[in-house]
Amino acid sequence: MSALEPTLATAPTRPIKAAATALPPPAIMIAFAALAVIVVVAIAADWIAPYHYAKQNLAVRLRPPVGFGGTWAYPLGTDNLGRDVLSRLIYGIQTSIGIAIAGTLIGTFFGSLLGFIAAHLRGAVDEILMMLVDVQAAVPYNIVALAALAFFGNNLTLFIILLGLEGWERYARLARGLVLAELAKPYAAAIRGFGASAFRLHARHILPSVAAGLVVQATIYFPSIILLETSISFLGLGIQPPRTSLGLMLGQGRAYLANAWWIAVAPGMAIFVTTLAVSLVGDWLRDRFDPTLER
Amino acid sequence: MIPLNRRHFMQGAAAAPLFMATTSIASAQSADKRPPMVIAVAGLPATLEPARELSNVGTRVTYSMFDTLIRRDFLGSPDGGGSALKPHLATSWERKGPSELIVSLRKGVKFHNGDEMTAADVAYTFRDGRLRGEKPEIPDGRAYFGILDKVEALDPYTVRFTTRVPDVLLEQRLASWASWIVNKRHYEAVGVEGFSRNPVGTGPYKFARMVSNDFIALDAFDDYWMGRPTAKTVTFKAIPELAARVAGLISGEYDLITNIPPDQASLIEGQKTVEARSVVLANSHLLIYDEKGPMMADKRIRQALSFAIDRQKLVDTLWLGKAVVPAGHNYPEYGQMYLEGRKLAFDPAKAKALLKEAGYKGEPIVYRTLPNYYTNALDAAQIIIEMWKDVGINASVQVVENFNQMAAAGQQVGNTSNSTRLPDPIGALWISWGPNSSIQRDKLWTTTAAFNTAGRALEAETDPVKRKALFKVMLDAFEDEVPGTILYQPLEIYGVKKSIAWRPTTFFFMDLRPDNLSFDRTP
Repeated sequence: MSALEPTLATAPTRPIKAAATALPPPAIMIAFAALAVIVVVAIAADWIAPYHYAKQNLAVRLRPPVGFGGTWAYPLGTDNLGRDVLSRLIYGIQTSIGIAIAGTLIGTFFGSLLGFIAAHLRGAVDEILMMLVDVQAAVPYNIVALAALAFFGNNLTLFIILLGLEGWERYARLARGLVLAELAKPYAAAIRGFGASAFRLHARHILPSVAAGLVVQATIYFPSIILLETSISFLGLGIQPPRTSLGLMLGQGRAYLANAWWIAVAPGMAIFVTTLAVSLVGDWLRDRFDPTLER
Repeated sequence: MIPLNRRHFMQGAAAAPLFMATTSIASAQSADKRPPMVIAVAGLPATLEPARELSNVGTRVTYSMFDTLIRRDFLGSPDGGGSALKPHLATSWERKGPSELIVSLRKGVKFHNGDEMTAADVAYTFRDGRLRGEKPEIPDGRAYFGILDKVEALDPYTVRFTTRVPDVLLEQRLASWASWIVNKRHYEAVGVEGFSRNPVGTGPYKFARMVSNDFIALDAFDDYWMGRPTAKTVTFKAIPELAARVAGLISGEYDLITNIPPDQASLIEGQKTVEARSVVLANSHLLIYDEKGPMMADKRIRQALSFAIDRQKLVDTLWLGKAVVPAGHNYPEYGQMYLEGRKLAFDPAKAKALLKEAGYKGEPIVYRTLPNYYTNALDAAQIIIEMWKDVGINASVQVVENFNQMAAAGQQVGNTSNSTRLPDPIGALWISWGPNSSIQRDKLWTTTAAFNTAGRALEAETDPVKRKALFKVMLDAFEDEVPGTILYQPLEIYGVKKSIAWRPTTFFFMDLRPDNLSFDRTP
């Protein structure tokens, strides 16, 4: 028996099990820690930010951060209106992460729903939905979002919806594929045979089987939503002042790069760290949970 | 010596045209050693019909393509704001009465299309139906020349201007906005729309090419009557991003850049080859209070909004103290018309009292602004809404992409700028807020009776004492009704190569005439 165990543990057919028992590599641990900090900052922004994001003190405009001639009153310095860069960064993280989560949820929900519908109904509906998927995939979405915001005017609801619509086609395509595969399995036929309704079949039985794949997909594309938010806000069409977001701060700071670099560097670093951490964690999760990688 | 045979001869003959062509190109190039000039601006006008584009971005370009009959000598004063009048396309002018002016034209002035400028072109420029009349092609023209009754060519070089009422400002009008002389033959051939895209004037640079929102290219007009222009070409490039303009100037890509906020001027001042040149503009940034917007019909709300703004604080912080808070819509350059002892009050207590009196209960007040059009506009907006919040106003900023979005339904507060086009209230307050202004035409302000009555009387009045009294009535009405309020006179900072001799004026007019532009300055 004891001679068999190591053979089993290293058996090529069970690599997932082996990975699941080990600790994640250090890089992933650091990424998790960074994400934890970011999430705590986002949730607790109101309590931990030293000032309100719009609080101006015009007497202390463009003060440098601590270590570059600044004081602890404004650890990361102040911006062109004398606002605390640290506080704006904290609220910026809250806004950007919050909006990215909302956008991801919208995209995941609608994309997956349409994928389920396509897989269930097949035929013409499937054809049309998949055609829409191809259309969406073929059009550069940044341009569509910018055009919509410029045309309808800026507002937060529209902005979040637009972020949500980014990438819905990825979820639709994935959900459709996964659901079709599940439907072909005997258990699906059995549940149908018991007379379960389509809703019950999909919601109670298929969804739990495919959820992991969709969640992994959402994690992997979360950084792209953050980047879409930041890039549109950077261009001045997303989050509007005096509210703040990482992209907006970066955009405002670019005019001051030569004489007050800290306004842009702080949010730039935050965007870099957040997207890198989520990407690392997403990749790692995929390695663990993505059913397509099991075999 | 190479023996000449038939084959050599044929080769030489075949090569000769090529050789001659290259030498002629080379000689043409060496003949024109003038440098091209590239100017990076924050925005470009949509068209080039000079009276139609009476904007900061428009006059900057059209000023080089057109001439006026009389030239206002901005550069005659050290601050770039001189108001003396000099002969230009007109060699002289003579008053024949309070309503009549005889203008003698310069002979031999050429238009870009080769035509000589004559009285027919002048009469055409000021004709009924273009700048004045019932439905003029250029509705804004009425604010400047609605006062004209007749413009007649007495002979090819003499024109008689007659005004409907006595007008002390006619000479100033002819030196100012909307008075640029257009070519009659070309205008008649292409119409106002065609002329807007392909204009013909007498200025030092002629139109070459334009791509909307990208660039406007002009070529030197070597037959210019003031002498050969000093640049071979002038290109106005739209570079809305400040950082890109500054970087392009420092790298040498641009010769001159506009709209630099004071915060960034230090970047340029530290450089070897470029420098900042600044001027306080005869232009004020203002807020418009649109009475069609929710809550805005009550003048007490509008008064409260104005009393709550600490203008000096805006100047001291955003403009590093270099902009100016004027004494209302009332400027020292008016000379004897200037009303002493007035100021724009900052009184938060009064603002609060007025809000209470008006029954204000926290309804939202939205301040619309474009992000980059006016220097510092977005920063000023964010500071002002904080000042409004301090007196209990539920204020917020909305960034819009263009002036149509700003003026769209629901506008409460927007921004604009007013230039002092003539050194007189008739050339500033009356043009920007009078019956011919878009403010009154579009019904942003309708409680105008007192203001308009005094203004109409002022237009026709010639007695200085009575004129001043009428101006006071007008200004009191304006400040009581508050259809808008002045923030400050901004500082316009240009970034220029040190090797370029060029002085800015207190207008956005960019004077590139040979007497104000050369490329051989020793810094």
